[in-house]
Amino acid sequence: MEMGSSWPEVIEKLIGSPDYVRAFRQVYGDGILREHVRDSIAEFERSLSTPNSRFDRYLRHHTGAVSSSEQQGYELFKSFGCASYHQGVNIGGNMYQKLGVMAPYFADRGHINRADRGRFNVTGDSRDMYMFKVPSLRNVELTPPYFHDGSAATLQDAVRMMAKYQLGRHLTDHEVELIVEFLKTLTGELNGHPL
Amino acid sequence: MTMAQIRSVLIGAGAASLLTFMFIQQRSVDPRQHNRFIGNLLRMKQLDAEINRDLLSSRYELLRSYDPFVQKLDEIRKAGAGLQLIPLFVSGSKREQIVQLLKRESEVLSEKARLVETFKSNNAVLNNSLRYFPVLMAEATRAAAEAKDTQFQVHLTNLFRDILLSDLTSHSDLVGVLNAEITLIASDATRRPALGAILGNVRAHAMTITLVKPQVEATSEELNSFPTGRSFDAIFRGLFARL
Repeated sequence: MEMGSSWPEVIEKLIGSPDYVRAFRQVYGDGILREHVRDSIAEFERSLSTPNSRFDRYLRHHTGAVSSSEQQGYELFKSFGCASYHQGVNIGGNMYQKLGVMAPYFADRGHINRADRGRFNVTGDSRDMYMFKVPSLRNVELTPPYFHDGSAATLQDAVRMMAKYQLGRHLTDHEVELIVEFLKTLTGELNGHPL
Repeated sequence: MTMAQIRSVLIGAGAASLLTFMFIQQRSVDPRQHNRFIGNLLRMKQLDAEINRDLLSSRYELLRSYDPFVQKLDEIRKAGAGLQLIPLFVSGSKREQIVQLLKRESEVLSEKARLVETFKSNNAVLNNSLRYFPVLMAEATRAAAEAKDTQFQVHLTNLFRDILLSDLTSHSDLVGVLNAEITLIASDATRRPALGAILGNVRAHAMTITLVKPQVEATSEELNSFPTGRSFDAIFRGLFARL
């Protein structure tokens, strides 16, 4: 169970959401049970294979798949070092990193809670304090809010915050927009249809 | 001897023969079990060597993704789970010895997996700063030129040169020089408050490179000399001693 949670805790949280209660009853008939949660997560994970984004096509030498400003965003993404964290086939999702490498994210945000301890909650190792899995950026435009605490409502906010806390840089609005344009090229297809 | 007694003796003898046959069967070498076990051992050894190779490639950016680490550690875990099925023909103290060796190997591999995570996290921080540093230096140099501050420009040029040089070497000879240059940049920032933000960032990334690079190298060295696979030879001996 991720983030040091437990089955009773997960089920209690789901039962607290009328939307989930309705959705589970609709799909499984007999409500929110552990096996149904497992099944729905497995179904969700199967839906995560979303290939053939415009950026995938660009990497396959379809140069027209990505516009000039999106390419500029990609160049900024690389030159600002973001590709050191977000790399691999999923553009992330294969390592852990401290949130707040160059500036104290949690001190700035305040109200530190248990979830903020990140991987420490799983390992109990003090070296894992504030370490989080670097997320995949595939389909990132479709998955707000961002970060473990949902503190960034938009992709623009997320890019600004990452630059500030992981790089120590205040991006201009133009730089933010270029990077966001690039990130939108990472939206793929599900069963051959654009997401 | 009555018929009933003869029947009892025959049944007893039959049962004893059957038990003896089953015992021999259990202890005889089953080639499938043997091959599966040896296959998992060899696979683990190979994956461990591949991880060591990937570490070096990753450190020098010949490998630009951490996906292979995730895949290979996952494969090692699967092969390790397969090794829990010790062939039935290995019994007694030999079996117990193999159980203990496998337990030890599993502990060593868990520790190695933890160190690989440390390597990835630190290496990413280092690469992030190294990648960003030229952008930052171009901006800082432009600001120094606009301010017509030649002393500041010389400090920046020296720092940039030595950061690049330090990245080319695997030892820490330049740490003292870099620390002195970072101190000069800090005093430049005091002298020129208008450039404080950019100089602060130059200093922060230079310090990150100076601090994290030795950590990455120490982790790489530790991983490359990690005692994984040492139990394998003992396990092989344990298996073949029975054959």
